[in-house]
Amino acid sequence: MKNSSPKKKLSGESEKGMKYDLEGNSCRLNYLKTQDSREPEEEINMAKSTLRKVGKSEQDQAEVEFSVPSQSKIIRLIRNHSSNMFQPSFGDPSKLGVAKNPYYKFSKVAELSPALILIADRQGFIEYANPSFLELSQYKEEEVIGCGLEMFKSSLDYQQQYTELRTAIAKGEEWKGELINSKKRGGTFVFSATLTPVRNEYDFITSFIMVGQDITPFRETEKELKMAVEEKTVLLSELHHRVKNNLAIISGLMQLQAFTEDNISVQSKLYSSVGRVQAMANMHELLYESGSFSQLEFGQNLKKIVTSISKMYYELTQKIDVKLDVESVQLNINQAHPCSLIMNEVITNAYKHAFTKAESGKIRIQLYTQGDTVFISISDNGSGLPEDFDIDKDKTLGNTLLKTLVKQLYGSYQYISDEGGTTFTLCFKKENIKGSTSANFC
Amino acid sequence: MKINVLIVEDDPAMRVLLKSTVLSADLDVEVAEIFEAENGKEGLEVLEKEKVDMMLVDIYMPIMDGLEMLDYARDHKEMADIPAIVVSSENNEDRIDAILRQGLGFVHKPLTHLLLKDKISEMINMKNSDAG
Repeated sequence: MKNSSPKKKLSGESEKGMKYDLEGNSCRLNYLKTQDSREPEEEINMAKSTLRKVGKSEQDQAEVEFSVPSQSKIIRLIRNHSSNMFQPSFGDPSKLGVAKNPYYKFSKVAELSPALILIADRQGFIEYANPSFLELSQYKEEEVIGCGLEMFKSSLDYQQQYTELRTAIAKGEEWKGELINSKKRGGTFVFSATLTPVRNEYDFITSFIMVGQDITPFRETEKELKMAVEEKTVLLSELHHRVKNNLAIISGLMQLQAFTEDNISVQSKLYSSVGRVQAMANMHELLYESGSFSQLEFGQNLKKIVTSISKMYYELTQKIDVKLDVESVQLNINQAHPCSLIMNEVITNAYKHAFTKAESGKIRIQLYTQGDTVFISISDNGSGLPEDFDIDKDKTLGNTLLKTLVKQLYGSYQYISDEGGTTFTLCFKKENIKGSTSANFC
Repeated sequence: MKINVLIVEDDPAMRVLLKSTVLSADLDVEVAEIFEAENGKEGLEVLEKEKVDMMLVDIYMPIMDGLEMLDYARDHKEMADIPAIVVSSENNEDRIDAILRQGLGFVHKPLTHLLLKDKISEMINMKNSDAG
């Protein structure tokens, strides 16, 4: 704001000789006539009346409009606290606010707003940049006025946002986007902006208003977070890969021992343990392959378990036909883990014991859900469980493990067996809670 | 018939496992010597110096991976005819198909004696019938 005469302002006199004094409820307006002054008395009276009202108020600052035949004058009054008088401040009339002019308030909004605001003419040449924009871009007002909006375009504008912006201006359309802008003294800022055409009463575009905000800190934080997540994902994937490899080596070494073991009973126990280790390894493999470290596609996991068992009991595999009928069911790792081990026990049992007297056999595995409840059934057409078999009294490691794992799932299971074969069913409620006990009774 | 086997695997424990599996797999052929290499580059160095009749090669290894090594071997006459079995935990079916189309054997980790035995026999028989 340029004051034409700062010294006179203090004394309350304008170049044209106007002086306003206000004290308490009274207002005194002195109009010192100069050679070219032609203001009529009624205008002066109106101004006096306004000033009286202002004088009664508690305001420290006020503005009044003072009309003269030739032009409109704007007087800003500032209360002098030492004299308790309002003194006129004779600034540049075009830059001074007009209390009665509604647009003044809006221009103040642009001036004071932390938002970045640009006004461009219909060709996209800048007419106005608000202080927030100027401060951020490090340019002075006179450096940007009259320049095209592209003056801020940075070489990082990979996505051709400025081309889109220019097209919107040419078509007179609204546009939203993120512009990567250059600062005057180096560096960039991300201007998340909305460009809106302003139309006159004839619907012609007179200018464009561009309003937005600096989202550089958000984008930087977002980038850092993305990098951190990527790093953690890679680490987790690597971790699961290593665990899986280590388990594969352990199972391989145990298998080697089983292969060279003469004692059939020891060999069988070693192979059972190999199966359990492999069931765990399969889960880790699926976890790093899928990229989700908390959820497992259990249908796929079941297929892997079957493949592992069929490889281990290679000779039996030739005569057993396994049919999988599985839905895609996502299980939390805390449920997938015990469930995998249960499946390994039951399918291994079917492989080892169901078809000892038969030349061939079939195993059917079903996985489906009803609401939140997961159902898994494994049935074979083998010889059925021995007549004296009592699941509650069986103290083998496999059975103990099965009961413990079902309990961990808060699930229930049953074996139904007759001469037509055996069917094992397991059901449990699907849960997504973190922790080691993430299931409920079904 | 006696054969020399080259095992190319970066994981020392897995090398021990592969070596022990080959030695105890009750193969149709007798294993004279087993050479070991930690990566494809070392594997090629062994191939240049030694007479190798069968290779067991991992895929993912530092410095030079298994498939790169086998590509190189296929382009060099003295190594081109050595039967090779890729031993890997690779699960991608397209990549496994690509390996099989190149005439390579494939055994999924963790390997079993019977699978390895069958695959080694198959590869040796294939080579003998080609030669015959």
